[in-house]
Amino acid sequence: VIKSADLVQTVVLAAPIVIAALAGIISERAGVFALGLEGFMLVGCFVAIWVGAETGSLPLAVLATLAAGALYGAVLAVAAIKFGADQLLAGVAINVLALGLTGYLQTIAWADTSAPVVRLTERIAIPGLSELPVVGRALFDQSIFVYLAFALVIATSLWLFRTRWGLVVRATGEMAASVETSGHSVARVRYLAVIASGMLAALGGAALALVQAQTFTNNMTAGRGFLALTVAVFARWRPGLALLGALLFGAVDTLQLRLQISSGGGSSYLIQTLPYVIAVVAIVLSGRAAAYPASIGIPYRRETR
Amino acid sequence: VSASVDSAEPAVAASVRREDRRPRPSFDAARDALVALIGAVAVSALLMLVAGYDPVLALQALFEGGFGTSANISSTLNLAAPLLLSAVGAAIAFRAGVWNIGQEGQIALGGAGAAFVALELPGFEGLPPVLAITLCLVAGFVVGGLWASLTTLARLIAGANEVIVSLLLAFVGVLVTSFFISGPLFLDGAGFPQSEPIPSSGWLWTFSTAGLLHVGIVIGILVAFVAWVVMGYTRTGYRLRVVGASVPAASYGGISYARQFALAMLISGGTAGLAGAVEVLGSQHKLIIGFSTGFGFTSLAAALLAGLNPLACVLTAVLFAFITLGGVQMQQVAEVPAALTSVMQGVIILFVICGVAGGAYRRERRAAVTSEESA
Repeated sequence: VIKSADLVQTVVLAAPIVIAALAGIISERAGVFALGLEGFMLVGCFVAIWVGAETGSLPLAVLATLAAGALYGAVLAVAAIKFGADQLLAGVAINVLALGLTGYLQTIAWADTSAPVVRLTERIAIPGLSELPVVGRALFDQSIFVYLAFALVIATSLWLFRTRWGLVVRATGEMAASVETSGHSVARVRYLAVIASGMLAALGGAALALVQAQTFTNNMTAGRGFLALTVAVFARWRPGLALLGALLFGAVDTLQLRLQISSGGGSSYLIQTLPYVIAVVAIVLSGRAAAYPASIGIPYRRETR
Repeated sequence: VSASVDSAEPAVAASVRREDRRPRPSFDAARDALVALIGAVAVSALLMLVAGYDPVLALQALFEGGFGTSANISSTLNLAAPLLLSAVGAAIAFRAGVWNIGQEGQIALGGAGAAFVALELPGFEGLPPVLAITLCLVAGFVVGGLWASLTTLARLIAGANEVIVSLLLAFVGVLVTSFFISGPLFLDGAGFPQSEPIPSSGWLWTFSTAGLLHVGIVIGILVAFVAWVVMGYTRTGYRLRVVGASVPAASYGGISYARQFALAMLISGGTAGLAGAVEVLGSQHKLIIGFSTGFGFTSLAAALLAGLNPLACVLTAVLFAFITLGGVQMQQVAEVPAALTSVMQGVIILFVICGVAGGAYRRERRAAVTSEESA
């Protein structure tokens, strides 16, 4: 039996994943592997709760999250673009570093106590629409982050496929040399894309921390960044499909949480594997059909072309 | 043989370019490693200064915790053993251009496999230790290797990216291990989910009567040595390295990409599983939730810092064990959060991969300039 509350929960859980998946889409469309999404999200979670707790202001928390995401994205960008480091390993490093940094700062911010509960978001019902049957509450009586997620999906899609800049980004991922020939700098496009990716993924982390958890715990993303990356690949780097994919994971997560409550003991660990198992199945099913952007992972060096 | 090459071809095509720029060990490796270490210490010191800690006091405590007393040295070497085993496997896989980064799950399941044999095999207590220990170690290797081979299947049959698949399976592996500990192998009445202690016939031998230092590090060094010989001086190692250097070249020379991929994945998953078994049989003597948390990523850092040289992994594994245990002491004495050790790991990986890529680029450019001048 599908309850209205489950649909609401599904959308709440899908929002951080779809925002992070958009981050992955932008980065990989520009030709840079997005394995660092997990780390970006975790940094976003921490900064949102930290600044949110200190200032009590949602706009300040979001601004700080975006700034931290940009800064952290720049670290990956410098490693991958300036030094041409292996992007997959750079992603691993970014994730390990994020775990360390947030763990370190968490202890400094809240000493031995756990992070405070931060309630900065409220549900905003859209008059009329929120009374629609079945989907009304799930889609139109949610926090600002959910509406933001929908808006970002539309904006990213239009930007990627309907604007000149979107075309340049896509071309950078598919055929970097041609972009350079047309007078753009591959390095600059990739820097901007990775930094934007850092900001978006951190925003996804903020959505996770501020709406769903309302606090920070160590390693609280627990693989959601990798699930978001899976969604990006499964959606073949299309924002609209990524929304569907994220909703699927939101539903699986909701089911998983519900099963955990009704079951006891050790089997709850097995239930928790559900999202990851589904992610593996999704990757395997998309398999060869999901062709990565042709120039992904290859550092662009002007002199060697 | 050629058929398997052909069938793997579409999946291979995308990965060829990646393998072309994988980190190559070179004489610069030692210099890169040194720069990375200095960078890591500098970043940590900076973070400590910003937060108002005394870096000198903290680093002193770190050293004390890692190497200060003979008991601490024993703990460091005991922790180095599983890190070393997993790092050697990662080094082999990376040299073959196979990106297994799911060690976290392979280690946990390997440990669970070893414990399962020790706890569930009838008459295990009565077995001679040599046999009992060997059985458990083999179980660890097999379970870890089979788990990693799921990624091989996803890669070779469906063309899925092994990085994402191995990572996702790591989460599954850790959770399945936790399931075994809190379900079928759960010890009733324990405060924290853990299994019964394993029978002492399965415990690794210890060196002194005090019984702290076990032979895990010796097993690790032996495996590292064998890996070094195999990679450098045998046909098997040659094939793995050729595939890692260039898949088209390998395929032209009649080397099956699919077979080498499967082999590299099996070895790296197996050694990771062995790492888990050594941790359980040597240090824990039972299965406990989260017994290997962080081991996988730490071992990756160790393999990279070693320039993917299995013998150099001995040094880097000891170093990371030292940093990890020293970090605990650092938190106790200087009150610096132990999470700083993860920061060091991340910084070290970043510096090493930037150094390797930067060095390769400089050499490439130098070569290009020289050939232009001579022409």
